[in-house]
Amino acid sequence: MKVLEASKVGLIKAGKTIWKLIKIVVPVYFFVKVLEYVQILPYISNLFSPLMKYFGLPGEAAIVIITGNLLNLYGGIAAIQAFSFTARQITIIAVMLLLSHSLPVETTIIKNLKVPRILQICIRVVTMIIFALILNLVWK
Amino acid sequence: MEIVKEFIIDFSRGIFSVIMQMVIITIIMVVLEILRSFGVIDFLNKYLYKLTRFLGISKGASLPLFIGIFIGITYGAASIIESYQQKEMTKKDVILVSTFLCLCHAIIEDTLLFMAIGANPFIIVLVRVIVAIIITLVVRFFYVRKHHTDKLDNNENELNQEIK
Repeated sequence: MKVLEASKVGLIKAGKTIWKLIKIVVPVYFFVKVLEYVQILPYISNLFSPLMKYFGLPGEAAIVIITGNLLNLYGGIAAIQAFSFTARQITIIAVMLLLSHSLPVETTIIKNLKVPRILQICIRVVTMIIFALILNLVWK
Repeated sequence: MEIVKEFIIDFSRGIFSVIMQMVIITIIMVVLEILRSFGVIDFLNKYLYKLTRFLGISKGASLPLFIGIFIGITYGAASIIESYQQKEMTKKDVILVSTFLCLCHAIIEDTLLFMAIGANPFIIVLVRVIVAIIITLVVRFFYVRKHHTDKLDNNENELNQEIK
């Protein structure tokens, strides 16, 4: 009886939480899909490719980082497989992408907890840059 | 036509993953509620708190933190919303836990993804956890300085020690 009652409470709570998340995440999901089909990402990546040498990465890594950040991790990983990187380069890219990825969707989820989006983006992008620089210098 | 077809396939795949997430949230919520009715949640919080107290979060915030770290950010956020409404977490806890989770979440799934393409799993997990701890402590420092809530934090700690 205790289990049944608890399950009922759990189902109601799940319904409320899901509705709260779906209201905000689905519009962002549409935005990300449109971004993927408009194919604006290669142009943005070209701007950033000269900066990649500071992280010990070739210029093509810019498209991986930009795709991973603006779309999602799966997009980033698909982009990695399109080029041939060394194991060290892949690990540095992995650290960068894991610290900062899927920004439109994930910042929306955390924004729901009243943490400002701009603060989250600053934290993630700045830590990504700082720790990728450190990793490149420390790991020879 | 080709593009339309591709879009429809892509879109239905997206809908499927959203439905999967909902099923997982429902399962987590029901399991948590059943565990709570048997008092397992209090037991878990008591032990997990020993690992997480140095981050400056209170007892009820440990379980949402661990759910987020191991299962994923969406599920972490869902259980934070739930605990906050139950008044098990303070506003400070929400800010610190969400800072930690935004840098370090779903470490099992994400690490396996990158391991599969040849990244070094130890480096990526270690860097991620250490970075998240450092940034959370920095945010805690600024939050305490802005809101002068260190005293409240101490009171909470005392309260928790009394309960033990």
